[in-house]
Amino acid sequence: MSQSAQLEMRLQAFHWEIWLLRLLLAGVLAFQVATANAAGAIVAGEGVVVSLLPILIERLSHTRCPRALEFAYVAGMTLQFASESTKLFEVFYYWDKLVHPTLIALTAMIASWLLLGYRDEFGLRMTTHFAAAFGWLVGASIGAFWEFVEFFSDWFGNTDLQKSNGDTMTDMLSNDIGAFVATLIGCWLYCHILGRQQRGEMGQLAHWLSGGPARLLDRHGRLVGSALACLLAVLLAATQWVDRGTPALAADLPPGLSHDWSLATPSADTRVLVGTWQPGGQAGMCRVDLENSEVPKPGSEKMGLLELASGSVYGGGAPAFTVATHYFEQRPAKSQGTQMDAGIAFGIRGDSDFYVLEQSALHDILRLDRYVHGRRRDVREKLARTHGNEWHVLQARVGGDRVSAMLDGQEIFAVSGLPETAGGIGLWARTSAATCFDAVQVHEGDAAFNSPVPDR
Amino acid sequence: MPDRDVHHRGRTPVSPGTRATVRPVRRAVSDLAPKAPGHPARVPRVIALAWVVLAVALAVALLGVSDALNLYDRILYWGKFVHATEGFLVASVAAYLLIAYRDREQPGAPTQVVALMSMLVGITFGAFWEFLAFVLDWIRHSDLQTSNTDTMTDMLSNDLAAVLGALLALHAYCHWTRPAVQREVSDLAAWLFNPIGRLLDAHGKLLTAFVLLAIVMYIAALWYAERALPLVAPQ
Repeated sequence: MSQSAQLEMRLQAFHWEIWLLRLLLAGVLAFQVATANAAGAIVAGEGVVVSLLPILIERLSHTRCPRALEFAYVAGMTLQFASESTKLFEVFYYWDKLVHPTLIALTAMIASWLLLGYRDEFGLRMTTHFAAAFGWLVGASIGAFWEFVEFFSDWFGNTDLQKSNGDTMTDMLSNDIGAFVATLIGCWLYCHILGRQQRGEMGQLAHWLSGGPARLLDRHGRLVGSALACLLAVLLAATQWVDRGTPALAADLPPGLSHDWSLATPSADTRVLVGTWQPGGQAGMCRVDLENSEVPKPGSEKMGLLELASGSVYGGGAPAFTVATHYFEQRPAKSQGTQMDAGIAFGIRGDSDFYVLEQSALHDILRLDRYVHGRRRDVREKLARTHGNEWHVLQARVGGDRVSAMLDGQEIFAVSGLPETAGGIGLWARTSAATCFDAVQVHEGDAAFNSPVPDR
Repeated sequence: MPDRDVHHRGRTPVSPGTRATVRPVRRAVSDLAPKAPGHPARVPRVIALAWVVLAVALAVALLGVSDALNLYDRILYWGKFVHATEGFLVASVAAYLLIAYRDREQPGAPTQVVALMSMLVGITFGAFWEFLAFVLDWIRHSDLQTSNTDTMTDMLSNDLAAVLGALLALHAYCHWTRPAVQREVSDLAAWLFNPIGRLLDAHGKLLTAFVLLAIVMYIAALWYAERALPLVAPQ
């Protein structure tokens, strides 16, 4: 073969658009290094490495990776890792609703291409409908599986990836829609645009990729199944094991009394357990978005917990008590972040173990959570729409194992069977700007909340 | 690699006695089957149909009984049991039909792909169930999804049962089902799936448009719940 022919072949094999995407990831890496953002640089670096996987597969399988397939893969990885590195998920509302379906769509497209290529390369009798349905189901199921990964990450690592039930469901919904549309486009591209060579390469690649797992399952299917079942059993057992041994209440703590707090000035019996709390510009006490006097990056906001009537116990053998507060969630400026949560804490047994009834203006939910060893366990959640820059009244009535949740005087839900609800009470917030509380009341028994709220 | 055994799958002839017994039922069922010119309908047999009908009836009955007797509130984790049972039944029926359909119509599809697809059908069914519960909660303020953990554990029980159901159904088909019954299931699967294929061939774009319209309506229902509708003056 002449030198010019070899050069022409190499030029044909050079997929410039794919290298442009890798260059983009490398650019993000360089930017993060230049701005001394170590976490962002690590994620971008991981993205660069992962985007090179098709080259490794080419070397190992001695099969050329089809251009369309490689582009779909690298485009997906670039979108994911560039977004993760620059925290775009936290900077823009609904960014995840764009990224998730795109990734799943590309996955579904790749799955249907591989099966169609396999069919054509090996002359199998299989309809295009079947391959399309397979691709869509793969995409939809990977979308569901990813939610399990997030769920267990949250459970064990408190990563806060699943913000709410609505967030999980809309993620999955957008995934499935993306997979459906992409499967249709993928099949159309396969049948009308992709050439014979690329189809053949896809078939060969599918053969190489599926050969190993197929042989393993043929020879040791039961062993693999048993190992996976054991792994799952261990995982499920671990979910219970990590929550064992919640702290007990000290015996000598006095019972809490009915009390009204006007938080215009810091009260002597309040104690900051977590985060920075300051007298706010709006009114009362505010949880501000500061960690060690520095504003955290969007997406890195931490919760704050302010204990009221510090050192006393509410609900310890006494009748029900009701806590109510008047709060304001400040809407953060664009690109500052999206967190707008305010809550009432009860059953406080430390800065890592307590219940919190929280209202999120971002996710439009009222939710009861229990923090166990610093990890959030959601107990109950219901749609309740509020907005940023509004004042609302949040109220929790706690009686033994039963908790009622109210917003602006209306009961939203009630939950029974809750353990260890006795303990301290307090205010809780997570914010990208400020969440302020100007009044709190706690009453023993069934006394109604007499709004001390100034007319705003 | 294509399955090695695809060329050796035999079909056991059905005895004349059995044929005579089930002929009236087959004729009745054949009237329901869509017919296309050049594709003579092959009619499913009673045994195969009975299994599928039984599974569907069990799934529907379980939902009805659970709702009627309020078992979700009376028995701890009853919801997880219902989700697991539904996922198991859907995936096992899907596996039973898909493997039989593969034998008759698409002998190239590897068994592993059929197994995987059956599991995926069960898993996707679980997700769609949650979508339905979510939209009902959102629009009608019903209380089907109590928390994210509840949703995730519902899906987990559904998915695990779906994997188990698909594997058991495939094992049952390959090892415990007589060739005659396999053939009946194949007929049933072809009777069910072939019209769908023909419909997609003939009106694929129209069906796609319908699905996209349904998606748009679903999203619009979520978005406009408790919001003012455009072009409609508030009351």
